[in-house]
Amino acid sequence: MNKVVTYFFDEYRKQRNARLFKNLLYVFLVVKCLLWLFNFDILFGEYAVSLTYNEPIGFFKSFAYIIYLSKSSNLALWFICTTLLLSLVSLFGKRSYVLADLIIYLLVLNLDIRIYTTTTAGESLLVNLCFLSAWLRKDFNKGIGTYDQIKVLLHNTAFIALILQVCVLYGFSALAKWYDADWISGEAVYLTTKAEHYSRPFMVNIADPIHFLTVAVTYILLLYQSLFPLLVWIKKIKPYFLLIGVLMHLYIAFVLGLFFFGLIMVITYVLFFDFKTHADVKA
Amino acid sequence: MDFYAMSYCNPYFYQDWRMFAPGTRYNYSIYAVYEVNGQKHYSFPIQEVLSDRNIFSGREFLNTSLTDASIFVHNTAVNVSGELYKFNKDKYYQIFEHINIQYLQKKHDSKIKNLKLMLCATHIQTKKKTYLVNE
Repeated sequence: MNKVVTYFFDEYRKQRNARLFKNLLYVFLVVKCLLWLFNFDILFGEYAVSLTYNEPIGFFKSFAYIIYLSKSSNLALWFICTTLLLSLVSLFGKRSYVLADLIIYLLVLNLDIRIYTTTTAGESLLVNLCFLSAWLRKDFNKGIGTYDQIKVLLHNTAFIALILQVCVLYGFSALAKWYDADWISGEAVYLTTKAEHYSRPFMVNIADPIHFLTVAVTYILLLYQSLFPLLVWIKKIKPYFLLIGVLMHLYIAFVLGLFFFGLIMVITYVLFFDFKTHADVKA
Repeated sequence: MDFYAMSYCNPYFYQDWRMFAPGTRYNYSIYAVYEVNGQKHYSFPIQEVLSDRNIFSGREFLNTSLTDASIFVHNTAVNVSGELYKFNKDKYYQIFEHINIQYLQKKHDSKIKNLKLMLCATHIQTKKKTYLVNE
């Protein structure tokens, strides 16, 4: 029991991971805001592709449907610009601003719901990460007051929650794949490679000659995702294990075309990386 | 499994849109016939979007919308005879139609009229084609 209390209250854990993760998340949000602005007309403007309905949403959920219900493109523009501004300020600021982070979370949630037909798993994950990372700190000045203790507790709890979020994501994803006939038969990667909308012309053309390779990759991916929550903690293999994951997600981002999902997953790997401490460097 | 997965996603995706990109066994083509300023036009929205697609051109957004919507209407289509199916005029069809209308209106920068859509789903392994039409 004492160990648990010490872990949560004693000091800010994983400081370098937390700072780097938060900064990368802000960079990601800046890129996302710019892409939203570049493609504003098809996402939020005159030619918005996501159809909206006037169904009753309910009081609590309506906070996530502000743009969706208003159908106002000006409001969407305000939301994007505010997200961009807050992300830039938070990126270059040395302190952490919980309120700013929570506002970013709410704005991103609203923006993603308005463009639901264009979204992938990346957007859902981003929203969750925005909420959880709001409680992480970038500044680690530890006082002795109750408020300081709460900040330490929230930081350490949020860090564990973020780790669990990634493990849960892989767990759910792997479980769904074990129930899917295409994954069990080893054909899933082949089918995805041959699907024009999840592939590139050169990949579609070479899928048949490398069929045996796609079967092997299917099973490797299945095992990777299934074992991720366990193997990611084994220090000796961790760097190689994470490297495989990064390559996999870069492939998903740039070949499959699930750009935001691929990149946000790469960013989450920062949470698992073991940075060398001063003691390690001396040794 | 699907129940638990959807329960997990539901708070965000009220329209029952899938959080994870649906798996696929088909390649899709949309054939669109419509009028702009009284002139008849033909278009292949998915193939047009797939050419020169990249995230900066916005075509990845359109690609996701068009193909995901195609998968939804394909899954809910009603068989007429053989390989011929009819669109089920449900919420998914409205979304599918809306995406195509918006894409075509942006393409011509003008209102379109009398849109007729046909979806062709080609099975990746067997190459068998299924056609979905309005009537």
